[in-house]
Amino acid sequence: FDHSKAHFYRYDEQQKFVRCSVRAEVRHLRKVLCHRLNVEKHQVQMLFNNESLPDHMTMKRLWLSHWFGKAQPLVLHYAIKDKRTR
Amino acid sequence: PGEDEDEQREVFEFEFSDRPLLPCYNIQVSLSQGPRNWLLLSDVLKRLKMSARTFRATFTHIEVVTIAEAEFYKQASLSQLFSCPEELEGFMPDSKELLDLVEISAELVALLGSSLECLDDRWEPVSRPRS
Repeated sequence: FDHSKAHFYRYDEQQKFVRCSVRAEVRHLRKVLCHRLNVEKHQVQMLFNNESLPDHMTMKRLWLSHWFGKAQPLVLHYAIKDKRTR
Repeated sequence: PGEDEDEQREVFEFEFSDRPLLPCYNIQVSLSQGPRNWLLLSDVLKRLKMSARTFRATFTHIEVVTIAEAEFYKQASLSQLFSCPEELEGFMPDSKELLDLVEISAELVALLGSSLECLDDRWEPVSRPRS
């Protein structure tokens, strides 16, 4: 996870390195992250290269399609939408 | 299409750490069991700043298994997800040396300073030790 913008928010995930099953989907990661950040599910968006990732994409598919040939770890970003934003 | 609902309700574990995680290898160490997730004992010892002797004496219940380096290299490099030869550059594909492995577990994860989050079959976060 990239925390470079985390100071703009009240939220921060100090443990930014995550290991999970390649069968896990983006929605699972998003849900766990929401739980740890104590924010609602719709507030967190998972991103790769500034593009939103589909909820049902697996880590395996993401790795093979976007990270194959590169060294570990796969780098993902997240964005937190303000609760009050319309 | 037609995905089995049970398959969709698999339980997932997420290991969080504030440091880069030690490399984990999905290796089959014996014919009696399928591939499992292992850490190199040498990596663990380095992270814990502990000698092998102390580790074995302190954690007698943690099984340490050995595998020939060549077999380890073969299995690790045959993984569908393996794409970066640099990650195995410290290993010799023809070596007859033995490598010590420890299976990743909730206890080991905690020892290494990581925390574990699980999603249950309703995708709700729960506390569940890794078996």
